[in-house]
Amino acid sequence: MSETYTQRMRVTYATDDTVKYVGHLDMARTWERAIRRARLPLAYTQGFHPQPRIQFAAALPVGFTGQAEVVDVFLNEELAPDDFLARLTPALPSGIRPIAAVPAPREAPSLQSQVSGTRYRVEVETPEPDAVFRARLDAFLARSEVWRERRRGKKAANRYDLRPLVQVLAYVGPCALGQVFDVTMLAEPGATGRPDELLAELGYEAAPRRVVRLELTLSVREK
Amino acid sequence: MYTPDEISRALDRVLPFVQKPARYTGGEYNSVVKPWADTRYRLALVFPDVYDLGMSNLGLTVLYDIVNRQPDMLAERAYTPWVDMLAAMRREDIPLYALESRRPLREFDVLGFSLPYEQLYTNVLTTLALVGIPLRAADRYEDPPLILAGGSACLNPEPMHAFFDAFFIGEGEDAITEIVRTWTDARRAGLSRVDALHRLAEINGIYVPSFYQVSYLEDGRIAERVLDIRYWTSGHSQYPIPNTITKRIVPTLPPPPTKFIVPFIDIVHNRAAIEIQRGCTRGCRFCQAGMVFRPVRERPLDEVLAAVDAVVAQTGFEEISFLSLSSSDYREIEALVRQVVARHGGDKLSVGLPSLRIESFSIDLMEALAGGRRRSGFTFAPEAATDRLRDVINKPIATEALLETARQVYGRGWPTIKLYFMIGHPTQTLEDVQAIVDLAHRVKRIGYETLGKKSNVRVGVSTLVPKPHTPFQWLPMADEATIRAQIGLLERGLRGPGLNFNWNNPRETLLEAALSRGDRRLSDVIQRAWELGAGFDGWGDQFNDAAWTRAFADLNLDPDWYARRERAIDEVLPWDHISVGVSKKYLLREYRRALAGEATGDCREQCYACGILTHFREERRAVADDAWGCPPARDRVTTD
Repeated sequence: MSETYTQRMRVTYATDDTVKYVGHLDMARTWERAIRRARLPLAYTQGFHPQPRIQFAAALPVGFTGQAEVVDVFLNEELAPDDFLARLTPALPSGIRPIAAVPAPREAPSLQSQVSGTRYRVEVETPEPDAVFRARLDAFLARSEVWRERRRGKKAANRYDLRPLVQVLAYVGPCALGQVFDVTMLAEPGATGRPDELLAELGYEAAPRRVVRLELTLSVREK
Repeated sequence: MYTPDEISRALDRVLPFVQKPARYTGGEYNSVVKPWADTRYRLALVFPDVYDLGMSNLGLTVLYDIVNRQPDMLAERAYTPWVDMLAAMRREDIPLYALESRRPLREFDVLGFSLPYEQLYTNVLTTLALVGIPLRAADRYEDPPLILAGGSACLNPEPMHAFFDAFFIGEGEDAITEIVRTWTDARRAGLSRVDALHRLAEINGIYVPSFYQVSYLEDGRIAERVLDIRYWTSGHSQYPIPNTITKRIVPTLPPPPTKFIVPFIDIVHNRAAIEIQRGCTRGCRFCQAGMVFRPVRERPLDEVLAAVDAVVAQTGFEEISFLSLSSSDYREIEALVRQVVARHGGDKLSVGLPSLRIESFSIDLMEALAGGRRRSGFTFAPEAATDRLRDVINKPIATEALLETARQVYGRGWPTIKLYFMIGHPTQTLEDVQAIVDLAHRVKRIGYETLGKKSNVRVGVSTLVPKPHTPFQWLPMADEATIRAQIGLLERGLRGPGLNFNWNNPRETLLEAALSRGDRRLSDVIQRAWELGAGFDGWGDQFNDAAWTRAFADLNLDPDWYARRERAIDEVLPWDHISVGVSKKYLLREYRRALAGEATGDCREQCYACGILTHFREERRAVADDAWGCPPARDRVTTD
């Protein structure tokens, strides 16, 4: 694997409302095309159907925006991060804005496997006064277990406990839409919490909401 | 009135619950968002089907590019939402908005609909209703924007005459800015809609249906079509209204667009398209495109190559398709293929070259483009399976030459050959239909001998719809029992390993035929069918046969009368007042030659006086001798 690329560039970027309904696979193709437009020396996998070597840390659920999403772009030439960003930024749709690029160590495990937690800011439409809303959050935190079912496609429903996936749940205050809270969720293989599941458990299954992913926690910290 | 912010907030309520929500949000690379308040002229380009189809329409891509190059104009896009989004927008009372500014379409000066085929007619009504303006032009008073249509289906505008304020006939590259400026200036100067339409009618290629009246004979045929006296007397007399509207053309093709909007979602043709040539000299008698896009104009090789470079740099698309009605006839086709491969072979760029002739040279071209990779399929359209019938339709290819080409295709390792045929050609017999089966089996046998079991043949069969402005326009379409019997014969004959057979639903074909050959009375039928639930008629699973059947019955009209009645040569045809520059005399001559089984040659070799040089004498003089497929203007050609 090591001989097929020269540099692993880690890009942190933000996405806005204009791209929040773009699904993960479409987002990957969007990055590939942007990199082609920027004429960056993207590395491809070997084999009969070469695939672009772009690794996302974690798929952003449809409808969410992100403030600090992370992607690794594998290159066939070594580039200065500033040069890389200067070429990439204008080639991306305006809704995707790179913030920083840093070369990542070659030997680090895949980006996806490094993600251990995710922090979200959630605005939810509700007429409830601050105190009532707060009480709902507190009631959730007071529970020792919260069993839910998750159904994926045609597979049998999977029972899981949502409570340990919610690591931090903090009330922020009221907003134009209703109420705001921050939540930090565990994100490990087989144990990834999602804000919409929390919202459903709080009694806001279908309520309009705005969700921003504020941060991804990577378990192997880069220097 | 909704603001863009209000629309965005409303979208957040519905988009999480619909399929492919990124169809409805804009923001794609190369989409152009101009400052609304500072831009004087505002056009919305509307494709009356879903985003996935509309984004692949090259005509709208061209117009979007031209208008947005004007500093004082903006062009935005809108498509018909898919049924789930339609229901959500109706429920939440969200008006149709343009993707760039998220402003309601009602706020634009002009809504320009692309109308390439008849299956979109009911979607036009869906779209107008969602915009929130009266469906019928006669019910629009002061405020609403101009509702304009352009595209191939406008060559018989009559079935949709009630819904559009104006149609543009022909090639819009030069006309679009003129139309938007003229209408907008007239309205802002305080002119009424009728007076503004008069101004518009002065523009070459504009047809304002409300300025004409049609009367009918007792048997339903058209008696005559006259200018409506209300519109050319008194206050309006200074603007003459033409009796016949001749299509507009551009004497030279302008450089092609290269900043294609790059969609987020996967669309029908997820690639850039470069038109290398407009028009066709072959003169296939069933082919409307071959008649109506005359004269032949090629884009210079250098211009095409520069466009490919620009497309790669500006879009990042993995695929480019070169469009024309007959790629093999592009004079520099070999150099084009060689140079594109030389320049972009390393870019992982794949290149599509549709409409190739049935000859070994086509395989050379496709092999060069494929590089080392093998493509799966090779497509040919002989359209008929016997030498005799191919002379009738004027697509003369010898069966032996076709078989030899098939041998080479398989011999060079392509496993699939797709063959397209039509049934219902004039003079066709059951033997001609059986010949499709026999020919497919012969091709299959060649594949098996050459390549073994992995070779296969796919046969697609459609029914001839005798189209307006073709030599077959007077012909009846085959009756349904005959079509079904012939499809049955094909179905029984085209079974077995390595054979695949596809055909069109005869009911959908009937609707297409009735709408394409119809008169003004069909506006009521279209509206009735729409009220009864018809929509997305081109999407097999959405096609609502019951709604259409009842709509025709409710209006006391018969689709067979439109589709399956032979028209007398002296009958007034609904589209007679629309001229594509090809004379009726030429069409009639070709019709008679067809019935006599006589082929006519390629008109690059010899001019057959179709009427183009008579209608476009000035345009011909304006360009170089070799710029058109037609002879230079100094060779006086006399037609009618």
